[in-house]
Amino acid sequence: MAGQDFRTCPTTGLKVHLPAENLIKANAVAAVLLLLIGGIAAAGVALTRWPAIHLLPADWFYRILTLHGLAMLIAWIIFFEIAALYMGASVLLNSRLAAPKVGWLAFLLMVVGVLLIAVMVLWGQADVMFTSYPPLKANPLYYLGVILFAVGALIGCLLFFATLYKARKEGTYPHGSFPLVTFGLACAAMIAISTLIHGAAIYIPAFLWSLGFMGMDPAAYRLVWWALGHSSQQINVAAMISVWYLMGTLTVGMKPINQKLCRTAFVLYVLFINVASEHHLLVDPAISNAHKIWNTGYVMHLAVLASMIHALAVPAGIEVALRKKGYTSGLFEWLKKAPWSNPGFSATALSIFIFGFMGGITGVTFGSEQVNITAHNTWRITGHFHSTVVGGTTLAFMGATYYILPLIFRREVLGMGWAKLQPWFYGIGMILMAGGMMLAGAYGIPRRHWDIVNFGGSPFAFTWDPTVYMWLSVFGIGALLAVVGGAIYILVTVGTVFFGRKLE
Amino acid sequence: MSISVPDKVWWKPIDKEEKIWLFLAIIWMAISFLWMPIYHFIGKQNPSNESYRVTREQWDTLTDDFIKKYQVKDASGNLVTMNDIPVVHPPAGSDVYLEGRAWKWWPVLELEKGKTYRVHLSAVDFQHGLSIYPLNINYMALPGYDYIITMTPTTSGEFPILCNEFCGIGHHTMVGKLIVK
Amino acid sequence: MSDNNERFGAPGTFVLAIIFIVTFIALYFLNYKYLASIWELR
Ligand code: HEM
Ligand SMILES: [Cu+2]
Ligand SMILES: [Cu+2]
Repeated sequence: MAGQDFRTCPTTGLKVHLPAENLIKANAVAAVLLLLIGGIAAAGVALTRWPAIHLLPADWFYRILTLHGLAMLIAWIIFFEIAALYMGASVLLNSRLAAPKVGWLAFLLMVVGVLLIAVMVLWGQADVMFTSYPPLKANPLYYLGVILFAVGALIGCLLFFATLYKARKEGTYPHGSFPLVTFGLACAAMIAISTLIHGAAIYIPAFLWSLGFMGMDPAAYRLVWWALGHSSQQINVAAMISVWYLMGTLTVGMKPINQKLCRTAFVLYVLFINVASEHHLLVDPAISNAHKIWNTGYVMHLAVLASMIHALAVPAGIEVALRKKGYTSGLFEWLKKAPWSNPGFSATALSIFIFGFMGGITGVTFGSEQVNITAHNTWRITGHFHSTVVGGTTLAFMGATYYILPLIFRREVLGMGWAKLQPWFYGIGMILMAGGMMLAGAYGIPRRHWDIVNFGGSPFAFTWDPTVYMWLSVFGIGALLAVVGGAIYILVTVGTVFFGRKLE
Repeated sequence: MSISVPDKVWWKPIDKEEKIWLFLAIIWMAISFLWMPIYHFIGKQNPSNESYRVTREQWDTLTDDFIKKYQVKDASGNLVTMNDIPVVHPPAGSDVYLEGRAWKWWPVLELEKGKTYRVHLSAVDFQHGLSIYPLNINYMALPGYDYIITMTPTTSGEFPILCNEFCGIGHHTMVGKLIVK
Repeated sequence: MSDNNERFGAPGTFVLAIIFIVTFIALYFLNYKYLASIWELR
């Protein structure tokens, strides 16, 4: 099997298909570049919303905020996930990637899509936020950019499944079930396919509407858009949890405690999570209460159950592995003696903590039917999702990078001293930032708002409860720490890729 | 290992602690779900279940009539406005209209404490987000929809209304006012 | 009692999980308490 297209990884003994490796590299590099762009935008946005600084003018604030949402939530996360999918199907199963050329086509579409989006936004042709709620309208090329990107991502997911099929047919891995990480990624990819179909269902009409070929109902748009927007967050959750299992194994040699439970929990995600989208629409007209309860209650809580299962299973697996290493005294010796100076481990542990304690709890609470009245479109929501998709998913992906660099890029991580600090800057920064946002939001601080001090000179301007300013400062300091953490991450990865010592 | 093929038979029984956790988690998920319908019966703050499609013409007629009928007059009989926005004092318990437009909340409503009103909320140009400070009450105002929120103010004072959905470059200037007497 | 059952062996995590669910329940209902203090809405 191992033709000249393969090399054997000296650390894991896995056979790595070189064309797959190149695609993984390309997608990972694109991801990091977009994290850089999104991160520069984040700094601009955060320093504007922190009233102590109020950096950008109004038009650029809204423009850069649109860019931040798109570059981060769409581009960075999905490029990284596509890299993870190729790794899960090809590397973990010793298999060749089914069709590398198709992988490059997908990559090309995604790059062109992102470029089109970025140019339109920066050119001021799409000041609509990443949700682009009609009647706000962007240049048709903006919607086209999103469509191209989504088609590319869809092709990437299909290539993942084709590779799984090929690996199974050719028997490239010991006969049996897929490894848990691959299984979890397969669940993520299934959710992704359903998500991208909803994406087509909304962006193609939006594109035609922007060209003037059809009308667009605002409530219907919101319903279908969130079928995409919500379930795309579940791709992130499933991918993040797969990465937790991966990192548990790579950092402390963890074994899943009970494969039955873990796999069942992943299946719950596929079955239930992409239906819970109406928690974005709880204070919208046009949808009945009964439907809102059914959609967000019954179905979402079964998906939350899955997260609760993983919330026990992942740390428990880590604890068992560390106890095997002899850290058995008391309840928490294993936690104290855990490899905290390994950035892969600290990033994973912080990710589990932030996602669970901050993101998970607030997600269910703010998404419950009545509480949402006091949370919708306030900064409570922005704080919530910076705990899930940033403190959770992004931080987990950052931790994984410290293993991808030596294993895939075959470079020794440069600046390991800085790398060790990085998850702490980013994680603690995010805890303060998201916490500050949620607490300020509890007083009604709105999201997507340029001027909460003077309201652009509105005659109805008013002053907030003074406590708000304290939370805004917590937010600002946290944002600065997180930006520093993000900058270290980018310097370390880019430095390693170009200048790290070659391994092997 | 999470990254290797599991044993042939991985469908194994669950341990005691896991069973306890699963039990607690399922119970809590059931409670937190059932709590939402239960709160409809025992709680006093529930999302509205009433909305209608409305055309721009219908909506304009409704709001114009409403404002004409109930706009406040001062001692000398002049119509009262606040920053050029009409101040309207509808009778207790009636239907009231509140419109989001770029970038104003129209009109300024004067309500009475402890009285129940049917607040019709809509928008005429973009999507807007109603947000009443400091109560932190938030609802979406969408063009083409008449969203009816049955509201009983239980505190009095002047309540600023912000817009918390992005509605164009002047979004942050969109502040209005609700007065409860 | 059957010994094909491997020990779970993660008491620390179990304690953390209990702390988690207690925090969860407390915050959930705390939010409803805060909600109950605003105007009546239907
Ligand atoms: C150092 C890191 C980051 C900082 C300082 C930061 C800061 C912010 C701030 C201040 C806002 C604007 C809030 C508002 O005006 O309502 C925001 C919005 C947002 N951020 Fe981040 N962020 C960071 C990383 C990320 C990452 C990694 C992601 C996604 C993976 C992300 C996704 C978003 C999204 C989706 C929005 C909402 C945009 C919108 O409302 O249209 N952020 N962020
Ligand atoms: Cu508005
Ligand atoms: Cu607005």
